[in-house]
Amino acid sequence: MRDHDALENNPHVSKTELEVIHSQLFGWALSRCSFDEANAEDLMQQAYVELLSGRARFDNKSTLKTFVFGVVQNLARSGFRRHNKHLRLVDKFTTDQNEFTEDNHDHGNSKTVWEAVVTLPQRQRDITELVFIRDMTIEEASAVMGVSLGTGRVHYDRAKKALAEKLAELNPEE
Amino acid sequence: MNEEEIRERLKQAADAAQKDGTPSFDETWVVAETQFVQSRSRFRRFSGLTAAAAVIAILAITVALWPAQQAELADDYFIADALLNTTSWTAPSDALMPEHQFDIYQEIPLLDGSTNTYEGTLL
Repeated sequence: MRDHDALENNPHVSKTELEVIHSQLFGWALSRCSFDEANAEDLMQQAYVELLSGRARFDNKSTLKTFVFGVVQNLARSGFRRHNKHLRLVDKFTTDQNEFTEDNHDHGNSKTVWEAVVTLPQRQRDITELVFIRDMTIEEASAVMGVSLGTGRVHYDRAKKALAEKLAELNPEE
Repeated sequence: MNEEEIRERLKQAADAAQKDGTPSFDETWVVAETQFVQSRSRFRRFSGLTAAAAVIAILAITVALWPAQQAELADDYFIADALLNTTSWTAPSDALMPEHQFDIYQEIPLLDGSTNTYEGTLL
């Protein structure tokens, strides 16, 4: 069925549905670009161009959210790969680039939590973000990451255990 | 630490990381649409130019080859025409055939050969 604001080259995608997941998608794009907002915005625009042109065609085989997250993931892997490498190098040699401020207690706590996430291997980090932060099922997260459900489950279990340990270390009184 | 606690703390951390907020959907969408329209018009312009260049190339090759082909055909025609108009043809005669002929049904040639036999076998 064609929605009233469905895209011309992607009849199963509506602008309204995209608007609903826009914020979460931006969060995902941010993490794909080492939290560089300008690059994340470019990545979002590219993803929307892919949908508008129909090069990324949604056929209702998954949820729209899974599909669009996958588009962002693939774009980040291909076009932004080189740029991300550069960003990681910049991060490595820049000490004051951190987004968090030490004087804010809440942000300080968030920083340590996020640092615990960042220390995880890439796949575990991705599945942690998709399942815990973006509210996806393990199956959906595996589809976005391009791995099988079994592999996704393994990454999820390992990530959950590692995170629980790291967070417990951060707050031993709890 | 259970799953819900992990989820809650991670969401707080993610919200803090996204501290400048999300860019407006409408703004992002408008930029994407503009990029799409521009890329489509670029593609159409490029396709048009490519098609025009191909047509021009084909025409140029055809025009360049046409006179040569025509001249070759004309030459062939004139040579054939000249030959037909100037060459006479007669049926082959038997002037060069041997004078003596024999009818193999009437005259059996004498063959040089022995008719002598030896113990029943021709020598």
